[in-house]
Amino acid sequence: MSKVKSPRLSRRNFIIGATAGTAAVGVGLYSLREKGVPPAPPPLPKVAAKKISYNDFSDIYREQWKWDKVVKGTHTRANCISACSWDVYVKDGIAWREEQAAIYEAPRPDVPDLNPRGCQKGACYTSLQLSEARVTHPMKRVGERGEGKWKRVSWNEALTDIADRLIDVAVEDGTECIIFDDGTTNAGYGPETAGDIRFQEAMQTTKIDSWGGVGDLPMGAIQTWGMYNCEGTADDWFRSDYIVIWVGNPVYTRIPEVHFMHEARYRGAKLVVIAPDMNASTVHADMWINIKPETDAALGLACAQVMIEEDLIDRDYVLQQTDLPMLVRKDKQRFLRHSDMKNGGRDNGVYLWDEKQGKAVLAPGCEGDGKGGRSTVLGKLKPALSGDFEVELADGSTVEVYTVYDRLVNQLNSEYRPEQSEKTTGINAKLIRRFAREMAAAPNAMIFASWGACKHYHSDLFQRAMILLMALTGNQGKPGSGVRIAAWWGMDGLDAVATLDLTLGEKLKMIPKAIRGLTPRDYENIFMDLSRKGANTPLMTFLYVHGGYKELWDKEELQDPALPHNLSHYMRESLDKDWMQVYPPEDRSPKAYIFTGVNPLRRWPASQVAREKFWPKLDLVVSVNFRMSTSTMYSDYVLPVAAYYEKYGIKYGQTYLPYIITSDKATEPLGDSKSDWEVFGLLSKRIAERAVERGISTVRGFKDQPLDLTKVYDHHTSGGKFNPEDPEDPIKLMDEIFANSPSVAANSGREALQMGAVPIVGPARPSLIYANYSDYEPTDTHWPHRDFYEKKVAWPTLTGRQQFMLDHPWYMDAGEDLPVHKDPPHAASKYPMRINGGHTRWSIHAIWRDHKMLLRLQRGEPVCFLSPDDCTPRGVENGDTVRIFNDLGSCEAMVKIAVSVRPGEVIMYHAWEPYQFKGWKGQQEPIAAPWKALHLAGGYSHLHYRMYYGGPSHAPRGAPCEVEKVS
Amino acid sequence: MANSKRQMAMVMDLNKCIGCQTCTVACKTLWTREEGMEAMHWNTVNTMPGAGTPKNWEDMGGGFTDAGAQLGEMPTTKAFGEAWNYNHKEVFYGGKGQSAHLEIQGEKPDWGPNWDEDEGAGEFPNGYFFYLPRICNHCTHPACKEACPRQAIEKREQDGIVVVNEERCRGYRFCMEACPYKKIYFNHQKKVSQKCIFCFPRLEQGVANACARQCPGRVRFVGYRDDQDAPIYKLVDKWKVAIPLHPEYGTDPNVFYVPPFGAARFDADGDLDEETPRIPDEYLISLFGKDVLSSLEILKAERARVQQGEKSELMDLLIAYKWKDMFGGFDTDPQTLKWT
Repeated sequence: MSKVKSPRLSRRNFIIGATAGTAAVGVGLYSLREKGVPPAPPPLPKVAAKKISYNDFSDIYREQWKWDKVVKGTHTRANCISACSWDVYVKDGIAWREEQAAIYEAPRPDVPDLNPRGCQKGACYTSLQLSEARVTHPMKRVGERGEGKWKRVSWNEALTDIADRLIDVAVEDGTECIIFDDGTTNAGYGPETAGDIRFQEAMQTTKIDSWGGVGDLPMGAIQTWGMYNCEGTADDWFRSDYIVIWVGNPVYTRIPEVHFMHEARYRGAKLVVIAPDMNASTVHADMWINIKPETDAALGLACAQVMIEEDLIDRDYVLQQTDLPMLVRKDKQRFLRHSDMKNGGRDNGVYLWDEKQGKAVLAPGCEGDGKGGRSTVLGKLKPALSGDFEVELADGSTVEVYTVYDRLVNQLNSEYRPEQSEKTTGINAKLIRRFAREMAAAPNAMIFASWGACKHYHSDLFQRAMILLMALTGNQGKPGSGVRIAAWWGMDGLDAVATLDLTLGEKLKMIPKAIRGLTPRDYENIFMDLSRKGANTPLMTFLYVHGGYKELWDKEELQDPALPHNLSHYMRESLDKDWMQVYPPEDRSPKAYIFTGVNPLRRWPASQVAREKFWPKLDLVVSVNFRMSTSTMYSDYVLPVAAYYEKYGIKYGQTYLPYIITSDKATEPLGDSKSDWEVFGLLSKRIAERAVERGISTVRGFKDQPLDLTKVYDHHTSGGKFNPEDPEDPIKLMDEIFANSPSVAANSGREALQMGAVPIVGPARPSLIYANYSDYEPTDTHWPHRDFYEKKVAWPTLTGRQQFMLDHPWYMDAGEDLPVHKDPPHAASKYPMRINGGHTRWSIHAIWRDHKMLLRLQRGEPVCFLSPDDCTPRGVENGDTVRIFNDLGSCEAMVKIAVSVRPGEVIMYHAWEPYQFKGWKGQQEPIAAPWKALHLAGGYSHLHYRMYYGGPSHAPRGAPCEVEKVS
Repeated sequence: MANSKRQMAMVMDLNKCIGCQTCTVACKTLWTREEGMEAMHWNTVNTMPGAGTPKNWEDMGGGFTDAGAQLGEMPTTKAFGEAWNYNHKEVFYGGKGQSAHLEIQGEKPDWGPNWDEDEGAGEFPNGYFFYLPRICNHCTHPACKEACPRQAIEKREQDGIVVVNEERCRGYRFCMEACPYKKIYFNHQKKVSQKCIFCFPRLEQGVANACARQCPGRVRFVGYRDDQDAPIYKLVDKWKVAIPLHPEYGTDPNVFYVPPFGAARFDADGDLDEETPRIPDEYLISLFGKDVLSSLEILKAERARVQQGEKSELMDLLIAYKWKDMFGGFDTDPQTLKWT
């Protein structure tokens, strides 16, 4: 397949939309552009297999490798951040085997191509979908929740009963008391996700914003950039000269892509891993820096100290791209603001010192620069990076000012010299200096930070330090460079996934801005408006208010000792000021919980708390899933959905691969299972029917607005445009998605399904949720933040720059107005060991965890890795079972003794099902996963809640514990 | 090359292997899914140093010395790792609540094909490990073939692939004793020996082996050993960086490895010690023989050259800019085949 060139698409022509990717909330202001993509080339011609003349024993094997047909498939809803196209080989009506399609082309000859991708999990999904854990018939609980007593029921019975009970909740308590949760696992770009989004919108249920619940939100990136999308294509890593894997383990978690890092070594790049343990990614590293857990910010800041002291920084970049030259009032340690300088001035105008004019001038591109905060072009300005100055304020008084840079340097020189950080991090000061110098000297240096960088209590401080290094060395915004976490491909046609829309008034209000061209800040504001249009509730807030976690998370030992108040104080202020939203409101209680794909009783921290305190509040629990999960065991109804190869889908597209991956239907759904699109359509339909039959129409909906239940199905199907019971209906939706997405090279659903891998050909409309603010060039690798660096577009922060100082009062109270190192609350725990871990190579969350083909390639049961140093004194041997415990809870696991483990750590990789542990006490039981109160902050330019993007995010890492042998 | 006109071969680059086992699964789902084959993994990947698959296989003997064929042990199914089964039904539908959890049924195993994954050797922070994928070596002097009293093992004339003729095999298992790499399994259902067939049905259609074509790490090169334009010849004969595992076993394997270089070690103060390699030379020599040192020297020298901005054919080969170039012409896309 060759890449299809589209007419060059310029963003300026775009009329704004704000499709939320996984959330897919559309504004519906469609671009008037033509699709402009020629039809895809025909699939490769079939070649008649060679006739081998044979007639002996070896025919057995020749006969084995034959098939009837091949369709393109993928694992759309596994929540794997990779996307790989597979050929699904169908034999005798069964999806028999899969093999990577491997049809990707390199954008340029001097980078390796992207083939073949895939991993061991994708390579055995055909067997997983037929395994013991597959659910194939609707079931109703007949014993206690979690007991495992089920009755097989018809779809008719299940739908009617569920519909009636949801109607009861709606009548008595309003639809906000119905909690809908599709976690993150169930995200797709196509019909497999559209069904449940449409159901949730039509019913106006509370929607759990689950992202923070997987501890995935890069809050430090948001604090610095006002956004976090910062990845490009994986082949861009090949262009790096200095790759630093920092809080990540790509050898486990980026199986399809990590070869680019190893191939870069053969190009001459150096590969560095910073990790407390010698994880699998150190195997192919040139240098491993064995840092003490949770001291990463101290390492980063010491490197910054070295770079500044030895003048290794890129001055022009720093002056133009960062807030370091911004002026700070010495009396208050806050930015000098326009409102200080002018009566009635703006609070979001900040200043530079122009050396040429010898005076403070409004920084171009800052939010309040008076010109819309669009561009950071300095023009004739010559900003001072450092210096003591005096300015006259509006009231006639004078105040001394200096720069953020001066503040930072003072702090680095007094607290973060390598010899000081050596004490914190355990890394030899010489090694710190060497690392800093090498990074600064590399033409293109990058930090692969990954989602693991978000799961520590002070992860935001790690990230602020990492970004500081990339900014000081001028790397952010260049190929093979900068901090890399994630980004998504946009597709304008995703508007069709959802039903929500902006009002005509809201659209009209945007037109003047749209004519000038919308800025990243404008996109963010649109997204914020949309976030507020539904009952979205960040999971941490939900669990605190409704889930029974308040008592746990208010505990003294889980608070940051540097903060003047505990979590409850910040939560109160945040809710009272409407910085954080929670549905249902605090005075009402959740009554029904519908989840699909997500596995809350595995994933939520200390999930015994949810089981004991949240579950009893629920009159109805419904699980919609293809497999039996622990949470499904605790549900009242199980609605079985089709497996990935049994339905049409579009895999969500992270930018690692410049293609959108689709999944065709290889076989019909097994047993009575149905596609998600059909299941949720049927549920909406039955609710509307039962509402009519019961004579119920208007109930309390979102924000107590009236909602007509008899119209739910009408809303769900966009006024009858869709008919989810028609097996080919999903294609209709896919047609709409692809026909309206000029950024990808397919014009219809069928065409996209046939291609399997649909090339990206240009940029989509930007949206906060996915944009990395770089144009897409089909003839180049793709890297983030080019707009900010090359076009000098203002970053969506207060200062319009990569912003290292945050003068929000909460941050100043916490001592985090500048990046610092802080110990996590559990540093003082009485327990000697710390539970760490990460994603495993063996599963995507809990999917594949119980699959025997893969378990046979592990120890066959949950394991923890321990250092020999911790085993010997405890009399523990390799293969023994240990109890991992603290005051909160415990679990048991088999020990693997490994020299790679740092003494003091219990490494337990991700996502065993609780039902794989004795007594179903899963690995989350001892994990309180406290989270930072500061993440509830709002009311400050770029510090505020963003749906699916920025909010409180739990910190499971480093939970204190003890380990003892189970005799 | 004893009886074969040509010889198929494979090179595996250990500096790219990530231990993901996609090769193992690709092989499993293609060739060993039938009854009697549950416990077979014709392709294995082990963390080294380690006891591997079957457990302690390197101590089991077999192969040849100058004195001739060596007696070897027959590995047990337990040493390979059995095909454990689970109680899913009891847990999900047994009505037992939390008193039943998912666990292996029957005797609890103490070994499996990847039991010592990521454990390694040495001492923190200077421990070391790497991944070693293994298939049948399709040896030029196959000990298995020589040991078979039934002449049931054939070395194919056209490509040197070693296959068990299951019609002739009577299950005596002398081959399992004789193979020093312990890559032969016994099918207790069919009572025959079975092993890696180097995907000959795929090669016959111009399609590379499943383990190679499905390798996301882009570790494996495939092709005729004597194809001078293809990577195998260049890596093995021209650049001399790909060497066989345990050459002292005397069977002349046709699978070759590019040996691994580990990260820099720490000295006593926690600074880097770049003089001593993290993976001890003696250990690598114990696996690959003395040639491993020159192979590593060549790799390091070429890497140093590209770091200076020079070109290196060797580095370009190992990067494998074009994935299909790794397969020595066996690059047909299997989904395009139409069976008649």
